[in-house]
Amino acid sequence: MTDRELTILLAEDDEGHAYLVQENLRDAGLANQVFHARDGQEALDFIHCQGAHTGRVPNGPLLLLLDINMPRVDGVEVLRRLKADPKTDEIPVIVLTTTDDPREVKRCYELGCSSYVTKPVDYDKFVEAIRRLGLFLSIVKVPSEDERK
Amino acid sequence: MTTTNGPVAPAPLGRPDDRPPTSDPLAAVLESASIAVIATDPDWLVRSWNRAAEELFGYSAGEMIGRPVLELVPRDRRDETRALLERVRAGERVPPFVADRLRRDGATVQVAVSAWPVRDPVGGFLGTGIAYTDRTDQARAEEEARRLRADLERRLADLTRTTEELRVSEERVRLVMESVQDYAILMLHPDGRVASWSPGAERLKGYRADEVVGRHFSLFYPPEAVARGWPEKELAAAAATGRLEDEGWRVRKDGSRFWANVIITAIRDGAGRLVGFGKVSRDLTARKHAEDEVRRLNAELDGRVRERTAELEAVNRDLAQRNAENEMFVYSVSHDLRSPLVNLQGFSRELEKASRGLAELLGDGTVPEAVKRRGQEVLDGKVAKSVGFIRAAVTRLSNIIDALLRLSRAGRVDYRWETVDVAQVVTQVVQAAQQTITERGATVRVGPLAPAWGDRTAVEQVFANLVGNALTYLDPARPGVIEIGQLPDEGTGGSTYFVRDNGLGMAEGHRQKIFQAFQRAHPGVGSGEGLGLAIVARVVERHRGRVWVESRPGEGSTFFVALTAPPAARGPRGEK
Repeated sequence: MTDRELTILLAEDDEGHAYLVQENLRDAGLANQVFHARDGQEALDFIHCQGAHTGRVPNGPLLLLLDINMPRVDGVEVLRRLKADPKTDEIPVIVLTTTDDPREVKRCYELGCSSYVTKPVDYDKFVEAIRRLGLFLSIVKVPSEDERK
Repeated sequence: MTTTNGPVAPAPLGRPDDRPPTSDPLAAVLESASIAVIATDPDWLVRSWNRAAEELFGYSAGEMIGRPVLELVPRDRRDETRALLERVRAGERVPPFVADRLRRDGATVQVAVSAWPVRDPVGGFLGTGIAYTDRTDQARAEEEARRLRADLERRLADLTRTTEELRVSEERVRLVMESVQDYAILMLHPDGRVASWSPGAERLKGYRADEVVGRHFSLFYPPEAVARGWPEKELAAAAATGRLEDEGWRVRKDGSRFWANVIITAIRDGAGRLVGFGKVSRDLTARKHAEDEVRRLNAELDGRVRERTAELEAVNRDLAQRNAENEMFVYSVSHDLRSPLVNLQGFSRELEKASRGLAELLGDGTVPEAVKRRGQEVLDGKVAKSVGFIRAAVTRLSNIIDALLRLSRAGRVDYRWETVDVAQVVTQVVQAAQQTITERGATVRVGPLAPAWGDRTAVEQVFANLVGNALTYLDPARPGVIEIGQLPDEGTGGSTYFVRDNGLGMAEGHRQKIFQAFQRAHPGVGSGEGLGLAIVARVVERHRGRVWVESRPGEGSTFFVALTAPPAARGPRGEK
């Protein structure tokens, strides 16, 4: 079995953030495919290959970068549903959000997120945070989506 | 009168009649008379002795006939009696006189004696007739009569005196009754009819005496009281216990009602017979109204206090909830503001990157010099300036958002209550601000500070804000002096700390507002967000303390923070 490339699903309703995150991940040297879902529902559709993503064929490992504050289905709900479903509970979820409320952090870890990264408002720190995240993503081992069937 | 001896015969003597029978009717009359009648001869020897004499003296006729009559006379009176008998011999009739005579048994018997001469038809003295009437009963009766009379006279005197006393006393009572205006005093017959009426009663109840005397006193009661037989019950109770006191509504002649205090007293004669009732009533309407009013006002006040308390509690709950909502709102808004901020920051940086890219492009030799120069001017001028402004604004916005988050957190974070070493906290705050203090050339003096009860981080936040404020608003015209100390303990179970500066000070109008969010007394000075004192106020409020400021423009400000003492220090102080 070939070591297929990690796909990164970025669930982010803010186009600007999505752009900046992708830009900085690329700047950090991360060449993986990044798919941008505009809200929680689209992220779920992508993972379950349904709705707009009905035709998608799961291919290799998947990692979710998840924002919390999103319309329709918010990040916490996405996290809860993924971790409650044996088919998706192994997908690593890194919460990437502006919220630094300790209660929110606690809740996300309780629901089973792998990491919780705060987007710093200060742009230099933001860049640094995304760069480190990119380095981490480039070495992380993630179970393959399609192997679980 | 009959001539036979039958009807006038004396009571049987109970002893044998030893007398010779006689056929002389007169003798029979004498014999049967109830008066002792005897006859003597001229020498005062008894010749005749009738049955009544036998009875009176105890001697039978047989025993006495032939014996001197003087034997019946006590010795000491015999001469006197002999003289009397001599006068009878001389022809005198002696009318009845009272004297003592001797009975056969030696006892003395009081008798009324009368004596008269007995003569023959030619006037020859035959002897003396003597009649005796037993005075024993009569004497006793007379003695009794004397005694009775004396007693009567004494009683009469007593009675006269008593009557006089009574008259005086009655007059006094009448005067009192008539002068008493505030009491209705009346007498009732045992059946409840009015017997007497006082002017006070007239004044109180409105009836004149002639209108009411003889009528039943239930007249004075309201119909409902009459219906349940209350007047009669009162009389029965007074009769049973002697006295009854009652308060209740009574009715005047004009139908108006008054609240009366009534005392009914049963009056009994010497034999204990109920002769009537005394009734004293007083009009307590004013008092009753006053009491009712006081009760009503009290109840109303209670009600109002309860209502107001409930209202205040509701308002409090409402305020607390709104406060929590506000803080939650501030919190979420601040967070929502962060996302666009990231974009502003990120894309201004992207703009800078793009500008650099553009500048490199302009540096390419193929670009005409004029275009290169003008392009460079735009990039270095407008673009750089714009990006600079954007970034400054973003930094400022970021600071405000951070402060707002801190403010919302000041109200929301859970406190860890402990004894806070305020002296240590202040030392740390001053140390942290050392760089600014040095830059400003300020002097900071810290006095002794007592520990307080609170959340250490929050207390630190309070002093950091106050010291920071003092440093920010120092007056550049003079060397800054900041004093941190404590007011003398006033036994309030807490400490009042102060942070005093000799800085710019504030006008009164500003002092009201500075504890509200986004209010700054000196907008041009410093870079604060106008939230520091709002955070201080919120923290102190959550500590159930107090914060206030005294300030004069141009002289400086003193901020006071009153916090409670730790329980250990509070206890003994409270017991003093």
